[in-house]
Amino acid sequence: MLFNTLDFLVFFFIILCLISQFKFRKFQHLLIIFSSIFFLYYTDSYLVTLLIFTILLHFYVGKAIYNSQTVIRKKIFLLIGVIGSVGILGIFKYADFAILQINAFGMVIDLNSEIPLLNLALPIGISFYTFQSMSYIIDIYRGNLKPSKTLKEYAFFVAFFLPLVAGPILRASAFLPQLREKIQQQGTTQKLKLFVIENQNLKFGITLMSLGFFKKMFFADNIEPLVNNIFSNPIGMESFSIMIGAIAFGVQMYCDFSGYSDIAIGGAAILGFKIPLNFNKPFFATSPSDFWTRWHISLSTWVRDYLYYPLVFKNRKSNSLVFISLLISMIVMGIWHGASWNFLIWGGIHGVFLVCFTMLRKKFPTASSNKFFKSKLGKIFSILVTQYLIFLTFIVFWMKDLEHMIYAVKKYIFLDFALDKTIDIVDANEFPIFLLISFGILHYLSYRNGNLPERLSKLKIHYWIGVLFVIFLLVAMFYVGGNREFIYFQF
Amino acid sequence: MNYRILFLILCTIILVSIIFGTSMSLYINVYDPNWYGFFSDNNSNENLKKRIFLIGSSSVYPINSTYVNHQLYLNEINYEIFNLADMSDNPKKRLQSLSNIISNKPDIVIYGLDIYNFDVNVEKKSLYDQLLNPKNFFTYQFDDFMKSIQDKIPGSPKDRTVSTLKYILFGPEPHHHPFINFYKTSITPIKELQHFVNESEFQEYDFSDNNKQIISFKKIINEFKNNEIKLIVFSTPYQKTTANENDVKLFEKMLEAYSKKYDFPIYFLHDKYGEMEIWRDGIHIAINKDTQIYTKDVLKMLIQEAEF
Amino acid sequence: MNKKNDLNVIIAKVFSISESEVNDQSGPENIERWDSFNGLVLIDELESHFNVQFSVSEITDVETVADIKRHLKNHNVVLND
Repeated sequence: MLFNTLDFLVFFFIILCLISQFKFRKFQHLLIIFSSIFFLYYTDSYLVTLLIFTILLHFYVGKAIYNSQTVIRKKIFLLIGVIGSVGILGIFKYADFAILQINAFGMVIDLNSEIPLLNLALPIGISFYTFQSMSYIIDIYRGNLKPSKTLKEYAFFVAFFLPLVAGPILRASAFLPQLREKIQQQGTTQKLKLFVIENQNLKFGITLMSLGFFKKMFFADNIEPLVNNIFSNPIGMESFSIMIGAIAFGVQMYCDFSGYSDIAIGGAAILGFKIPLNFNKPFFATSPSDFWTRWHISLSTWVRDYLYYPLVFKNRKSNSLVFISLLISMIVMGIWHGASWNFLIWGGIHGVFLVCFTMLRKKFPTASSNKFFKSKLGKIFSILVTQYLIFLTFIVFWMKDLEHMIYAVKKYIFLDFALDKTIDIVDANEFPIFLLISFGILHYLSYRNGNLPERLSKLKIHYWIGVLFVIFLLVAMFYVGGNREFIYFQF
Repeated sequence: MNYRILFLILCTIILVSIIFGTSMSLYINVYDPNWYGFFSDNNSNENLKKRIFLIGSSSVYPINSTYVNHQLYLNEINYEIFNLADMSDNPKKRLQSLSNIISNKPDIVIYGLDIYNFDVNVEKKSLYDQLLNPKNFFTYQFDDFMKSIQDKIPGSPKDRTVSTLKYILFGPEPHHHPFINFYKTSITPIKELQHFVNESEFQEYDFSDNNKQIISFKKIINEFKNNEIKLIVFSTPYQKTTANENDVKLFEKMLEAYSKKYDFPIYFLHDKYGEMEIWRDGIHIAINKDTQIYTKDVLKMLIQEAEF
Repeated sequence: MNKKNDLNVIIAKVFSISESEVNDQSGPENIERWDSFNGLVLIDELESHFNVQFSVSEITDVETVADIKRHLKNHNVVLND
């Protein structure tokens, strides 16, 4: 079920009404679990069985790891769980890509047979809930988490419909305590809490969800035509047009994905859950490293904790092993997005940027304390350089065609300073250009003024309703039409 | 849960819906070809040329009215054509703005009708189908309600908002294609289209008098007749349809029957261009200098019927 | 030796912030320069200063300075509060 549909709004409204009317613990928990499964079944039909399989597998594997007396047994169960998840992900997401490469290689060596493609449908949300489940069993293995005592609790954590299909990727250690009943001085119990919808949570949640819809439906969907006009056939485009396309796509991706995250986080906030931010003003990042603490935070911290740190920890004295670990981690991050060479290249480029930046930091360890970089001008300089590099990677993320990608990247780096066609493009896309400028201004104001959703939700009720009225009206009047998918829905 | 907050949000949603609903139909109901906007230098005096309106859905908008106007001018025919095609148009929708069309006193109206206007959503009978398509099952339950909402709002509210604002301030843009932006599109090779069309499920159609679209179509015909506006109807082209052969024949039969009954000429273009490389997708001809055949055929039709 | 101060001094030095900005709730979410690179630098500094060796499990179980204190305690490093 897409968030930006009437179906979801009706579905969510019904859930909230039932939760608020029926204050029975068991009813509420089972309602959320079964409605989450229904939520996935609604769009994915029989593929919902993969979610159910993942829940059962990791619940019992988690218990087995915890109860195992020896490290070998723990490792075996961990391996079963990880292979189970990665296996499903691998088959549904990457099998056809692998087959295509094998067939392409077969053609090169004149092998006259082709392996047929499996043509499997990509289950919605699989990249998210498999990673979420893997973090659960790995944390148990590491001794950082006790397994859920009941299947009900674990099923809630994995299947919770709000972050289910496009994140944020939740961590059991942060989420499960929120699900459990709090008893003062004793921490939490294993009993699941009763959901009570509190006024401030309701206001904050609705504010955040509204901002999410605004970002997605007003900004992202209306900027998309500009991106398509430039990137669908970039051959012949001028450098500045390519730059506009890169900026437009970056803003579109941000508004689309962070909008979706806001809807998920806001909806969860209404039910009393605090889910960490998935985006934190990434366009103000001052370095490639800083960017990854601000963009798709739940995925970057997952890769850091479950791939990068295990790879690098024992070998951190060796620079080359640190760099290789960084590259591997970023390539995996790229491949996570999809079975396509451009995602792999995208991850690789980010890896190269991070490696270069790490080299610089090792060579000049006091540079960050330098007067210039601490000054306002220095910060602006760092932001501009970083964003120039980041927007380059957005070109690669969009373009699956290698010829187009090479052309666009060349034009982005080696400027031709031509303007004629760019002016035509701007003229023909006045509204998206206007939106890009408006987004820049609003985003800067939000960066300067701190937590905007929090501040808006604390307004007096008539001002608050006024803000919502403007948001709803703009979303309705500038709704592009058709059910536009969220970009990250496809991952 | 705070019901005051929910009540206020509900009121806000209702207010937004009212403003939205009213403004979405504003442009198409006030449209006047003579209006050049508050900030335009153009002469807003009444044009002396007689008018031809081309109406229909997005299948009609690739017809290049600038080209047609130029040909009429070259042949010293004192008529001006306007392509009033609207996204997701159908007879029921078009009926809502018909009084505005008639008030602009066209001499001739050319109506491009899609076979898709007459499709009906039939619930899949087998339990297996329903289980595999839960979304379809649920949306079917509210099909009538959703269709009645869709008939009142344009396919793209954003395009309508932007074009309404532009119309008020600067007049319709472009002048002869006021409702849909007339931008060049690329041609998709037919072999790529086959893949696109084969994936869609065949629809079911109803051409009987029970279909609300048929009822609306008859009302439209009568209104034009009562106002002495010459009507020419054609079936819009498609590359590959989601209708089976039998339904296509019934569609043709229906149009022929009404053509005889209400005395208007009918032309069939639905299967004329199937093998030509002029398509943007399965149901839209591309807007391109290499796809002028559609425009030229409509021009021929006009010259034949209009008795200039 | 005031070991709590040592911890705050190390954290302040690694992330180029003032000591007064360091408290038990400080972490990657609210310290701008706390990324994976500086995270590893911090581990190196803490290990050499307090003469301990952290495991991967421990370093991935850090969200705030309070978590660091907890792990140091597990290594018998007592910080005066």
